[in-house]
Amino acid sequence: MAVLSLKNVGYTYEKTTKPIFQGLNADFERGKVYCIVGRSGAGKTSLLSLLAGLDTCTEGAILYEGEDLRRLDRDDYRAGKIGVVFQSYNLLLNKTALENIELSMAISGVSHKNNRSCALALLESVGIDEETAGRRVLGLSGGEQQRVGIARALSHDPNLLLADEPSGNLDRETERDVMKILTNLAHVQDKCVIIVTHSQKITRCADEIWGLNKGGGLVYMGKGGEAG
Amino acid sequence: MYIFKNAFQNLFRNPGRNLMTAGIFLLIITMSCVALVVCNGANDMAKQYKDRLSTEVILNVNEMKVSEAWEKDETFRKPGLTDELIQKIAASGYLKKTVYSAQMEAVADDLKYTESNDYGDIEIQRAGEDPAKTRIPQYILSGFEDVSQAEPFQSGQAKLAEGGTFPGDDNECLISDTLAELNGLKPGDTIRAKSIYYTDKQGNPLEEMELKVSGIYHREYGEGEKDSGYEIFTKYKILTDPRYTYEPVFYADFFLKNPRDLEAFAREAYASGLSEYYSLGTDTVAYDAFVKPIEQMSIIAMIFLCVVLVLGASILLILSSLIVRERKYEIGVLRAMGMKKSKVAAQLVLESALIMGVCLIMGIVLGSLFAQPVTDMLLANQMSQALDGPSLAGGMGGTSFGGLATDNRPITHISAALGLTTIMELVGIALVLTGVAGAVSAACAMKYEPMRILRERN
Repeated sequence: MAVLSLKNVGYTYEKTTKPIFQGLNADFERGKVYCIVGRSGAGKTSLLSLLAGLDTCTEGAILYEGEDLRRLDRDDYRAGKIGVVFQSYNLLLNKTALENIELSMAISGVSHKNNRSCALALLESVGIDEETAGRRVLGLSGGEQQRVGIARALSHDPNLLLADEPSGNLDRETERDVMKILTNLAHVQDKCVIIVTHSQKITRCADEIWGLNKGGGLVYMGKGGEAG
Repeated sequence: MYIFKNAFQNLFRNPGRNLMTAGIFLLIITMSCVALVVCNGANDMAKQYKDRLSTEVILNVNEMKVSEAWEKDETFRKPGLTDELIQKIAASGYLKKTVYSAQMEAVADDLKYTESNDYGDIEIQRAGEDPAKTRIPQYILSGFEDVSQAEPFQSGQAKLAEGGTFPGDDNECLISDTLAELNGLKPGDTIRAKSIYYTDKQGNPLEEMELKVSGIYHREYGEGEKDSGYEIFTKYKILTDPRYTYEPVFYADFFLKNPRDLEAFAREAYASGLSEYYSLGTDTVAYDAFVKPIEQMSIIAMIFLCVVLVLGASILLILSSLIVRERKYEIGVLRAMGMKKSKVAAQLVLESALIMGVCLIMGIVLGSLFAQPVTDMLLANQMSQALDGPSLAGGMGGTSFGGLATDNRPITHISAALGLTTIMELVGIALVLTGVAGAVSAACAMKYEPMRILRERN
């Protein structure tokens, strides 16, 4: 069963009449990495916002495990069901990396015997050591912030991970590390990973590539490495 | 729980912003505290004076009539007040209570008294009395049924020092700290005093009273008044005892049930046998001179409080909305993480409440430090205006029957103590301000959609 399904999804910005996209249909399953590619302005980030429950589609429906997102409490959906990795990280800047993870766990209602140890282990798994974890986010490099962003997205162990240009601001080596983490999540931990990207390198790691056309629909473009 | 932890962390992570909010909260609470203390102190004092001045009927000697009579006939002696007559007047249905007091001019050969003792230096001329039968008075013994009800203690002008008590037995007394210091007296010691008359009316020698010091009082004196420490407070009964007194000098303060019954009560008292050389009256001039300025002071404090609250709340409204604008990104991130609007709002209110809690304590401490000097300054200002005013140009007088001139003293001190009522009012103000600041923050935060905030930021 698909974790997330799009049924004739369309979206029109407020105060405009022309839809940015319409008639999107797709199913996203666990254990796979999906890449959504498209030109600038095609609506990739808007689509990701809809999938993340940060916005609602103006046409059609998005189903999470068969249930319409509009019927779900979208705060609970964001807090507990999905993890989002933003292009510009969107971390709380006045907090440490560790506090960001702990707060995310608290909002999601995740309760471990020792939340702090779990958060540190999670950060460790994305390559953030304890010393770095205790530093304020503002003092971290872009790559470190992105890793913290991934750790935060995973803090409540969601089935679905959404990532918006996760390597957009990173150097090659870090980009490779980040992609390794994301593919591991899908292939080892059986999660559904949907990535919105421009990067050719990232699409090579994808199990499925979908193209988004401006004003049009979502087109299956093949497996990673096949798409041109 | 995490909201509390997050709010607490935010207080220390954004010191500049929070210090600014705290500064405004502190200023409002401190100023409100001062205004409330002044207002409540003035209201209490005004109520006390109002109750007393409007219902207290003072029985006093009509000095003018006595001296007129004495000028005509040097052998004239005013008719004395008897206990029976006082009791008869006190039985009036117009009264709610009667406070008895008596005075005796006395000497105490064993005691030293200050050279500045004005009272002792003045030889008092008594109408129709032979000076050879009396000595120059050194002290005045004031007797009350309950000394704590005496005017200086009621008005706060005099206070009992620690370790002492008000006289309980008839042979106990309170002495001034000046007298105690001069003679090395302490509670438990005994002093001897006797009437300035050598004998009673029948020519029998008067006895010396032995009074046990039950306590020592300290008295604040107004401008131009000297602390001669001559007044000794004791019980009413001992001063009316024929073994010690030549002729008891009674005073009785009658308290009317209704201030409008004064005329009827006076008619009844004269009909009961009260001589025309005594007068009955209330102190309306003192009422106008003392109560009105205090009421004015209370109004000034209340207006000041309103201005502070309106201005403070307006500044807080603006500041809160600006702070939320500044924190838009943080709110967007929290919302994107799945934090509910209500919890974001609760966190903002909690942050305001934590800052306010600290400022409330600091404001109360600072406010209570400033309250007394501000009260003194306002009181001095109001009283000097009142005493310079035309209402007292003709001297103190009163609504009286028989030409009464009362001795109500101007209010020289209002205790600006921080009471429970004031603290509760300040807590109320703090809650309202926190509510205002929190509600504005929450309302502003509510209108932001997370995606829009993050999109704008990115």
